[in-house]
Amino acid sequence: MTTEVVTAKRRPATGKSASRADRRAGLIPLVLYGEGVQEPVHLVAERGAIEKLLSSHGEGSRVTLRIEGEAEHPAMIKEIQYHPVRGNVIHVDFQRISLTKKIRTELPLVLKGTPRGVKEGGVLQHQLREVEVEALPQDLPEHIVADISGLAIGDVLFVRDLELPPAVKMLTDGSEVIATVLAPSKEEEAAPAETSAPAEGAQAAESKDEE
Amino acid sequence: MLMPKRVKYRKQHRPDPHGVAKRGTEVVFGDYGLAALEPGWITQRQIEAARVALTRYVRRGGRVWIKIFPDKPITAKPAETRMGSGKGAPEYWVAVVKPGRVLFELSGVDEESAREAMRLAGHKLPIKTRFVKRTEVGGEAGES
Repeated sequence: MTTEVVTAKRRPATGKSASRADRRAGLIPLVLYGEGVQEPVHLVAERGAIEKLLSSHGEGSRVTLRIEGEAEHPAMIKEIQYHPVRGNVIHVDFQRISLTKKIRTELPLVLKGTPRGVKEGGVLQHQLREVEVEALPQDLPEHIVADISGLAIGDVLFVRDLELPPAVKMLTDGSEVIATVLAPSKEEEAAPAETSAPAEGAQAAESKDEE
Repeated sequence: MLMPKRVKYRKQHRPDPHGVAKRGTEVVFGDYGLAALEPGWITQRQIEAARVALTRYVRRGGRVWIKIFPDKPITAKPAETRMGSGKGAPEYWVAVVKPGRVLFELSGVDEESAREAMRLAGHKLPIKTRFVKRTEVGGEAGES
């Protein structure tokens, strides 16, 4: 697996107002912590560089973090924070990793193919989107591919059905369901809302003065 | 319509909502979502109307999640009543929504249908909304 290099520099001031000033200046605040890092290191990087990195990498991806004037760190993207309204990246966590120690991480599941059952009118229900695995950082794939093209209506794909690279150990329970193909439901347009009747009881319960 | 089964206190204050949503800002169950762009109160009737609009449009095949719940009681005084004599009786329930909150989610349909379904549902709500998608592997968050 090739690793992308992210160049960052130390951030002298931390906190809400300093981070906002950095963002206004076209930078994104970062933090590095983890294996071999005593205190968390506060960093900033160019917005463009981070957005380019995140266009092809996500949480759990392995990168090399180069701090200007200092050493390079093998790291993993631990968390990406987005602005709740604008949707742009506001902060990224990097976890430093050891290349000789196994790490536990969640890997995204990517479904491949169109299930046979969907072509027959069934509905694909994708239930599990990430699995937890353990492996050496260099053995970790970016994601795990689950082939669903063989699923007929009523079939279920379990975690134990996944094909993993040999050096990767699955930690998620094998009996967890990744995806199922359900039979097409009857037209349910007039389906009533989930709760209708018990509602009155709600008010009656505490509005004793009305009784 | 959605409403709590029982509540600890019958009447609540009604502060103006401030700030942006801190949770419930990502699409987590389905593939597509409808996010709020403004703060506001969504009543139980509006949630139900939007749900009906969604399920009518996707008919079978789609699955709908309602990510908000009307847990705030709103009181009102009867018509032609003189002011005073205490707070009115609980009339209906609302969900307090702040910008960024994902209100509904949808899966099992193609993007074009999801956009249209969410557009129709958005028209039932008293706030501006935006169509959003699940954050994909290495992809960006939602978009308009």
